[in-house]
Amino acid sequence: MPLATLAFTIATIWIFLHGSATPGHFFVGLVLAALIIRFLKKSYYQDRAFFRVGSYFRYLRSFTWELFVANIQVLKIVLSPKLSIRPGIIPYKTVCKTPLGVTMLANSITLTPGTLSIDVSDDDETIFVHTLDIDHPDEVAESIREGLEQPIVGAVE
Amino acid sequence: MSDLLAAVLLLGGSFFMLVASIGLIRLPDVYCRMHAATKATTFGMGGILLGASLIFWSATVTTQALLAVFFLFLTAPVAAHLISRAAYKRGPDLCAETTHDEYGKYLEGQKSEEKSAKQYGDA
Repeated sequence: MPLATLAFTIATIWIFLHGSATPGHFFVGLVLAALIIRFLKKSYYQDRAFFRVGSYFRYLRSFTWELFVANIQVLKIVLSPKLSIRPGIIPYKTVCKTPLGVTMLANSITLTPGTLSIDVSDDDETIFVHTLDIDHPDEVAESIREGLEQPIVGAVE
Repeated sequence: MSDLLAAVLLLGGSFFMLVASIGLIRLPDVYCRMHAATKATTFGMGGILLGASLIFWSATVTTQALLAVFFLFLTAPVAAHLISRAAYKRGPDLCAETTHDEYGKYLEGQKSEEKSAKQYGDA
């Protein structure tokens, strides 16, 4: 989003943090926003991500669902009397092109069922995924593609 | 009603933290442990923070809780990524149950490329 919108967003969050909505506090928020932007401008990655609100919510919904499934799965694995895991590392070819897309995908992979991203290849094309279910590598890749990658591509690419 | 919901969230959150700790002990190697340590702790922490914001029920606390959850979900996977990558490059091997390791092959390939590049440099 543009820097002005960002500044107003930060000021609004400041109002909520403070709990009292007076013009004075909003002004303080704006000053803080200006300071934050002043120091972090260089690493701010300009994109259109937050404008496609619809796809963004679709991603959030899909991600939340996967998050619940992941935790039930961890629960089952950890609390079952006999450890039945088949770990292994598989490569995953991504279609995400932008740094933001790849970062979001790698992060989401770590938080969703049975998968953990270990490294991204130098050309940003392959994510190495540690999985607890190596017997079905195609299913793992398929669930990443449908549950995470497609919503991310829709939201930020 | 909201007290009940808060209690469920707090207990559920703590329970998932417990699961994460048990997983940390039971699972065989660094990478499997990171699975438990990232997924279950972020989930549990989210539950605890939401439960806390329900109890206090004020804009200030809720904002703080939501921001904390947001940054937790943003940073926990990054930490897990770095820890497991560093572990792979420097330290403990994959556990015996591991059958596939494509990442190892990739690193090997990179190394031999570097070597041949050096040889060309010498010539």
